[in-house]
Amino acid sequence: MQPLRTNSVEVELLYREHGPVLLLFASSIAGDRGRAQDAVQQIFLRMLENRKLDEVEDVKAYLFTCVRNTILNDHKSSQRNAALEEESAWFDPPHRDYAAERNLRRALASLPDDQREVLVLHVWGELTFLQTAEVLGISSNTAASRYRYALANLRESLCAKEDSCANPSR
Amino acid sequence: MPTLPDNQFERYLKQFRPLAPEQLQLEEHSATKSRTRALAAWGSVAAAVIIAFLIVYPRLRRLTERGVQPGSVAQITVPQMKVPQPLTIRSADALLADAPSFKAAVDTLALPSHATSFGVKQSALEVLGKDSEL
Repeated sequence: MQPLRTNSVEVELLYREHGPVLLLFASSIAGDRGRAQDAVQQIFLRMLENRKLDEVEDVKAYLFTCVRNTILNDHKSSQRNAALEEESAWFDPPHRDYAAERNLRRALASLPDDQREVLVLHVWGELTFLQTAEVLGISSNTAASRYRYALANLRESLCAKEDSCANPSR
Repeated sequence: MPTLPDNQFERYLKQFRPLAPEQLQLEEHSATKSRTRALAAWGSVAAAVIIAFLIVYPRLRRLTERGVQPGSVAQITVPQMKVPQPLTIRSADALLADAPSFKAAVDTLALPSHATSFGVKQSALEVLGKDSEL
């Protein structure tokens, strides 16, 4: 039986549900928020045109994979060694603590690319290590190991800047 | 400075909520798509018209330039043949000589001559006699 095409309502819902974290993931790879935004939009519009989501087993992991491939296929990204963009915010911080948001962004930017990817996928994307491994094309053990390093490095980086990690309730 | 255990640190990180992306440009996208489709349709129609014109125009032009030439289908008609009444060997000979084909001559002979020949009361001997006089 021919699978149904993904309709615009379904796409819109997926965009609302996963859009923010997909954009965060795209930003963490591309560095440039504008390019990340374009990549995420492009995926959803392409999905609207020709994707049949009922063929996909794990929609969430599939979306992250699409985002990653789109960003990496962009020829500009292959030349990317630039630091992550400083100006645009990535997060809505708790208690409107914009300094903490900036610190977190800088700490994320200081991580190696592979650790940052795993961290974003696991913490904000809420993917399991198995799903993370699938998205990144690595083993789940590698994903878990990278995550541990990423978490340690991030914590160290944040604590070195200020006491934000020491006072999470702020 | 105390260091948070992993699970608490994760919880702390999750308090930072990723910002939502811009609105998905679905309407603009569908408008662009329908515009593209309309353009493609008009393009196809225009191409079809041009191709049809290119095919038909040279033929029309050739026909116009040539006009009606001798021997063309339009001109092939069975010549008006006067069938002498009554039918004689001589007139039949003349008819066969003038006719474009044997069939046409036979056709011409067949219909009117019978009617007239049967309509007039003449004996065959009389007719043959006249014929031999000529």
